[in-house]
Amino acid sequence: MGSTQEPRADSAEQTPPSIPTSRQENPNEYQEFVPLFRRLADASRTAEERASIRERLITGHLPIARHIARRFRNRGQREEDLIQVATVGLINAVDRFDAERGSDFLSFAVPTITGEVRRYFRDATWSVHVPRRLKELHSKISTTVTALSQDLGRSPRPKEIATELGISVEEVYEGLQAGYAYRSDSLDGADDDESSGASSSRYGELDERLTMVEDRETLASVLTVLPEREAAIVAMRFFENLTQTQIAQRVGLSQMHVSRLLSASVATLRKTMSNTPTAER
Amino acid sequence: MNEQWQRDSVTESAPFRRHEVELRTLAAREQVPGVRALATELAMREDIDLDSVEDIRLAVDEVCAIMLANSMTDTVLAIRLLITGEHVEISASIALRDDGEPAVGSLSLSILRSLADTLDYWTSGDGDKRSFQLTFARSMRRAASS
Repeated sequence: MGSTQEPRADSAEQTPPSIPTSRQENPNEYQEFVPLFRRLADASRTAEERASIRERLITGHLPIARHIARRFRNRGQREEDLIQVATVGLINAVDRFDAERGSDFLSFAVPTITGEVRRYFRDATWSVHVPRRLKELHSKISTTVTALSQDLGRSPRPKEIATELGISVEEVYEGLQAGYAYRSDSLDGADDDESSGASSSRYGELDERLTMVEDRETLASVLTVLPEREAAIVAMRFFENLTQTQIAQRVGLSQMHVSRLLSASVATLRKTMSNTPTAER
Repeated sequence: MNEQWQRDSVTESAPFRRHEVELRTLAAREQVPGVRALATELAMREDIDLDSVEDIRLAVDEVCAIMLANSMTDTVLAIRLLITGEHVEISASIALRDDGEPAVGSLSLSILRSLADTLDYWTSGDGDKRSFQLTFARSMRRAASS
C-alpha cells in the first residue's frame, strides 16, 4: 500500500483533505460515518453490501490512522511501516466496534490504533545497544530488501543487496546481523518473560505432555489464541508454505515485520501450548 | 557426575564434511542465540536469500528447543551445521535421560516439518549411554528457483 496515496472518498461525503491536526477537536468531521456503522451491523444486508460499507469506513477513517502513525515518526521506524501498522489497527477497530453500545467510534478507534502502533514499537525496538551507524545501515538495508523483493519476486541475497546499495558485502552481513540481534526470537522472548521464575523446565513439561499428539491439528487449534492477522501469518507460513516475502506482499507489511510477528507468534504459541491442559490433567 | 555429562554424542566420532561446523556447549537456553548467530553468518556467507536465512534461523531455534526439552542439567549439546547454497543440514545430539522416550513437542515438530525436506530423530545407545539425535535437512535449490 502506498503511503503517499490519499484516501479515496468513495461516498458522497468529502474525506477531509488534511490530517486532523490535534486531539479530537473536530469529531464532527467523521460524523457522517455513524449511519454506516449501523448499516454494517445490519444482518439483513448481503455480505457484499457489508464488505463495501466496511471498505468505505476503513478508507474514510484512514486519515486518523495516518495521523496517529505520524505522531510516532522519527523514532527509528519507517513511517511507511508505521502507517501500515496503524491501518491494521484501524481495520481491527472497524471490525470490533459495536455501534449499538452508543459510544462514538473515534473514542474507540484512537486507543485501538495507538495500541497497535505501541505494540509494534514494543516488538520492534532495538533491545540491545547498537551503534548509530549500524542502525542506519540496517535501516538502509531494510528499505532495499523491500524494494528488491518486489523487483525480484523473492527475497534478495546478500550480494544483491550489496550491489544495489553500492556497499561491500561484509557491511551487508554486519547490518543484517545487527537487525537480527535486536529482534526477540521465539526462544529469547520466552526466556525474557520467564527469567524470574523457576520455570526453566517448562519446555520439558510442555513437550512431554504433547508428545505424540497429532501436531498439525494441535497447532491449528491453538492458533485461535493469536490475533487474527498473526494467526493468518502463521497459517500462511506453516500450512501454505509461503515464504516471508510472499506473506509480506500479501498482508502489506515489510518482510522484516512479518519476521518479527512470526517470531512473536511462535513464542506465544509455545507458551499457550505449555498451558493447555491435557485430557488427564 | 563429571563423566556423566561429559558423555555427549555420536557426532563426536563422525568425520567432518566440507563446510561442516560443529558447536558444542552446555545445553542451556542462553546458548541458543549464539548458535543461531553462527548459522546466520554461515548462511549469509553462502549468499543464501534472506527468506531462507530466516528459515534456517527458525529451524535452529526449534532443533534447540527439542534438544533442550530433553536435556539434563549440565548436558552437552552438540550441533552440527552444514550450510551451503545447495543444501542445509542441522544435526544435533544430546545425552538422554536414562528413562523414557525423548519428548518431541508438537509445535517444534510441525514447524520443523514445514521447513524440512527430511526430518529424522532417533535414540541410540543404551543404559546411561543413550543419546538422542535429530537431523534436519533441506535442499536450497527450491528456494533459489522460486
